[in-house]
Amino acid sequence: MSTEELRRQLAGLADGLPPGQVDPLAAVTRRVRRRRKLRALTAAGSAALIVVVALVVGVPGTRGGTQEVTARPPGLAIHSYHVGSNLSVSAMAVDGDSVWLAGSSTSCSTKPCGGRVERLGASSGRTDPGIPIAKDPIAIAVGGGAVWVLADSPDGSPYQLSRIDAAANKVTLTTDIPASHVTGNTNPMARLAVGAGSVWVTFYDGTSHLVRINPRTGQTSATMTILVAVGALSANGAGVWAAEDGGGRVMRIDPVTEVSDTIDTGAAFMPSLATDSTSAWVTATFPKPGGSASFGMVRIDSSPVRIGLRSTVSGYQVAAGDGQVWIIGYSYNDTAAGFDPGYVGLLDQHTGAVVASTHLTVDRNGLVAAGVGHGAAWIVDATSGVVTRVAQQS
Amino acid sequence: VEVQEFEGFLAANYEPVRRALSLALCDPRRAEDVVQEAFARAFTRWSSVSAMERPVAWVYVVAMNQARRDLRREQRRARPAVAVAPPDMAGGVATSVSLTTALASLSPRQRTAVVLRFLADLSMGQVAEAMGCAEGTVKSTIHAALGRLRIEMEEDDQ
Repeated sequence: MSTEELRRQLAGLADGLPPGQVDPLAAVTRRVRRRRKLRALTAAGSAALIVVVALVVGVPGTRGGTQEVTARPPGLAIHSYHVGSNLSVSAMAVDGDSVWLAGSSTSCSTKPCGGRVERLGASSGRTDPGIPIAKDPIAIAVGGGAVWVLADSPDGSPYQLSRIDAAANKVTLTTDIPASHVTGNTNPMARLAVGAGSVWVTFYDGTSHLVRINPRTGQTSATMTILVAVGALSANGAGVWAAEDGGGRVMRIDPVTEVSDTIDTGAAFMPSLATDSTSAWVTATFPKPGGSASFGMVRIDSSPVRIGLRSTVSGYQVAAGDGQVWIIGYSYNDTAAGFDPGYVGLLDQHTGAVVASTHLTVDRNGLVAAGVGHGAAWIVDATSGVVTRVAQQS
Repeated sequence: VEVQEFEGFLAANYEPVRRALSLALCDPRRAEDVVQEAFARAFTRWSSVSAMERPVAWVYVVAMNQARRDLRREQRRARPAVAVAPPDMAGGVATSVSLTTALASLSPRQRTAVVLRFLADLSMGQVAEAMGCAEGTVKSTIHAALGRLRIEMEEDDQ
């Protein structure tokens, strides 16, 4: 499909929506009148009101770049951290005491600004000075004592992989992904994972490629053509796992033999994939007769590769690590014909049931990534620049 | 004259903007609310908005900014914990295995970016302003979304 066809189909979809329930002119006129009344009232009383509110409530402040902004529900503790105000986060990875945030800089003296990686201390809540990345980061992963960033620029140049020395906080290696390029967006999909002794990159240019990279030298050690266009990628000791984009197949590539096993979950879409020490978890949308859909999670085990668990718990994003699996999602409210605020839930990995959950104070439009580390789930809201930590209360 | 001109602008643009934001936000009620608010603001400063090259783009940006502010305000309110399994997250959206379902498979950010770019016809810069992020982030978001939708991007969309 071309973008012109997309425009036509979107217009058709919009035309098919039910008409508005109110007279626009009357509604807008009411609001204009209300604004004028408010303005008149505010002009008279706002100064006094602000002083009184400040005296009674106090002015919220930050300490060390950290601000706790939400209540603590029973069972789960939520903390929120404000990160750099001029970083538009596009990816996140968690490792031990570090939460690594990659994104585009929003302020700089020369355009384009390029990207940046920032480290948020999980214990301290403080961010280190950012590490510049030449292109716009699209993925970040941690492994083997280093942080890896995949970045691109729609100028015909290849995808670029950078290695950051976590201890020194600087880029120590930059390499291009061979035979990849972003001109004309012919290969707009690229994913990154680190595990099983290698760095793994997938990209799509009509064919889906998996590139294996030596983490020490940055050299490509193998390039494979794989059957599925990859929507999500992760790696653990059992190999590298790829979830099909726009389909239900999950592929595991054995790191020793480089032979792949593919299993079909039956899903129509799998928005996310995460790995714990031995298994892969995917969130999935299953088609139902009549065109509707149901939602769930699937755990795929590695020895042998098989579906180990199906759960009816629905979520958009899954995150795994530290022996925990978390889901993040948004419930659809039929009455309001829209999405309710999101939730985050901790899964029982044997039954697939949610053992604790809470409403999530993350903008649905801003959710870009989730990860697990330091015994907690970490979720990034790119809209507000807030990182939320959710953990079981001790 | 100004009022008549605004009424014409409202009549021509209200429904398209409301429908586009209903798709982008997946929330028709919120879309209706923020679109009315944005048009009300457009009226109160119509002399400057009407002088813009594309006044409706300003309305989109203002409406999306309002939606973000509303969401943040709602999220700041403390909410009690729930200890039950959450229900289906998009049962009411994925009603046909078509573009609707494909859009439902996108992340909210990807869907918003695609709708604003290809239905509302905003420029990359305007989409970035509406979404409150850098233009580079919008580009990579749209790249990823179109890749997921299996759509080849044209040169002028980069």
